[in-house]
Amino acid sequence: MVHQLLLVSSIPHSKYVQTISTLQAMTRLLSPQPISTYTLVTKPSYVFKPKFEPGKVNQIEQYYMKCTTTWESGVDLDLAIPLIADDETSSVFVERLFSGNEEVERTWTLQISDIPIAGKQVCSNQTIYESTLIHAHARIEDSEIKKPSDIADGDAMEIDDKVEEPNKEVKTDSNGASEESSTSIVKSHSSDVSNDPDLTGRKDSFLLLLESLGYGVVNQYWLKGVRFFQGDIVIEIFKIFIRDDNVSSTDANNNKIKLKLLDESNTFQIKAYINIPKSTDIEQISQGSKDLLKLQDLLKNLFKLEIPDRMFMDSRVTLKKAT
Amino acid sequence: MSQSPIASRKKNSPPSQTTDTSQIPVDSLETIRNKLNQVHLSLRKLSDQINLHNRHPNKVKLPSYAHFQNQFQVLITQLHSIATNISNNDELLQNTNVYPTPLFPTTQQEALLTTLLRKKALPEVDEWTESAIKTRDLMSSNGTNNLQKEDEFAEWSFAKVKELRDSFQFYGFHTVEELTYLETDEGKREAHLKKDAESKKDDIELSITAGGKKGLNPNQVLKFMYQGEL
Repeated sequence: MVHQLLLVSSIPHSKYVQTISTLQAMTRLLSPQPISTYTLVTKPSYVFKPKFEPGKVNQIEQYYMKCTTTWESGVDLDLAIPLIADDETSSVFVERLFSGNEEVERTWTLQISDIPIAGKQVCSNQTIYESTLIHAHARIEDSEIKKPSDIADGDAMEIDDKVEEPNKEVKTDSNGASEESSTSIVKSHSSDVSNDPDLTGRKDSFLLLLESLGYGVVNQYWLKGVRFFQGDIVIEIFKIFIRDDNVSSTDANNNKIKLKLLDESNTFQIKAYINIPKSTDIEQISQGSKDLLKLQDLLKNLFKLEIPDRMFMDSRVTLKKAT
Repeated sequence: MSQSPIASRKKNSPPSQTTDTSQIPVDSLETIRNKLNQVHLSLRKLSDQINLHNRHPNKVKLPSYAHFQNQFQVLITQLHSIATNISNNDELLQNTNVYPTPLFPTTQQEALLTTLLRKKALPEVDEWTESAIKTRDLMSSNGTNNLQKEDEFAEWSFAKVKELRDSFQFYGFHTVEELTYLETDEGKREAHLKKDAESKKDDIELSITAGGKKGLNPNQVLKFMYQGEL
């Protein structure tokens, strides 16, 4: 369990070099730590709706879960160079993660976070629960795991029925990820993917694990950036990539996924946070808040660190959405 | 100092039945007393502020310059109104004599009485008066600090500047030399190059931001990271 104090900001692409140099000078860290993570956003597949009973704790919530691991950008991906949509030279490809061919051990971090504390705060205060999982990827044949995959199919259908654009992509993804090697991406777009026996034939064991935990994949994103340290404060500057489904036939490469920016304006996101081991450690929390405020003041002419809106960081599953 | 006799008179007059109070110019004396009281208060306040700073230089800050300026402005107005008041009642004040009524316990309060009836100014007050008169004489003899003349000069300068300004016409941000240079071929080329460079820069910026799109708000990005949707 970690208590996180957080401030956020964003800078346009044109200010990236200036910002990096300033932070390098400020933190005396000439080569900032690179970050490249891949995250699956998952959501409980089954709605838990406790009966209202007087005298019992009735507020039981379900949370989205983030599963994070690292990724390698095949070519050297330089963040200082803007990524321009429709420009062939600057497109980004990543290896398929769940192709099942690799025998690497992967470290997954499963994370569930509470909604930040309400009330007047100088920075966002949030409790985060994390667990690390070391996982050797393996492909499991359908015959061995008949039951879970059936459930998954039914579930995927459900998601498909009610969702709008973004989730559609999501669903194809959880399935798409499982069928990488056999079918082309374009095909996986058809609405009845989950009924196609060929697609659900094989599943990556991590996705299976998620299924058995009762979680379904909602979306995925790749994060690339750099990390600076100043005292206890961690400053991250990053961009988020999502899967680009408009792959022309020329780029179609079965072993790679084309990425595009989530935010096509090439804007960089900035997070400045302090993690405190215990949420009961008031002294450290107030000290951390002070440190963050100092940093905010120090950097106010470079970028404006602000308190994020807690409602946007709400990872609870609302009943409305789940039903 | 000068307010005391008036005060004493007022205090002592009501109980006496034999004295005729109708002759006392109460109204004008009262107004003068009030004005004096005002000046006294503002001077006290100012000196308190300064003294407080002198006593605790670290704790109490000296009032700002603007504050002093304001205080002086107030003082000047108050003094001015006193002066007009006094000169308005000039005749009355000159003809008024102050004396204790028979009811006043003269022997017991002799010290007080002498203070109250004192007409001669204190030696330091005399000094102030003298020095003030001297400075005024000095100023007027030099002629440099003649306020009226100064004002006249300022007004004249203002009028002159206005007149000078009216004889010119102002357009754009270039001087005549710059404009004539821009008219030449070389100047034209230079301007063109500048424009090109600028538009190129704009184009690059536009392509980077996918056609001048505004970046996503950090909150929006956080929502995506937490819930997988925008």
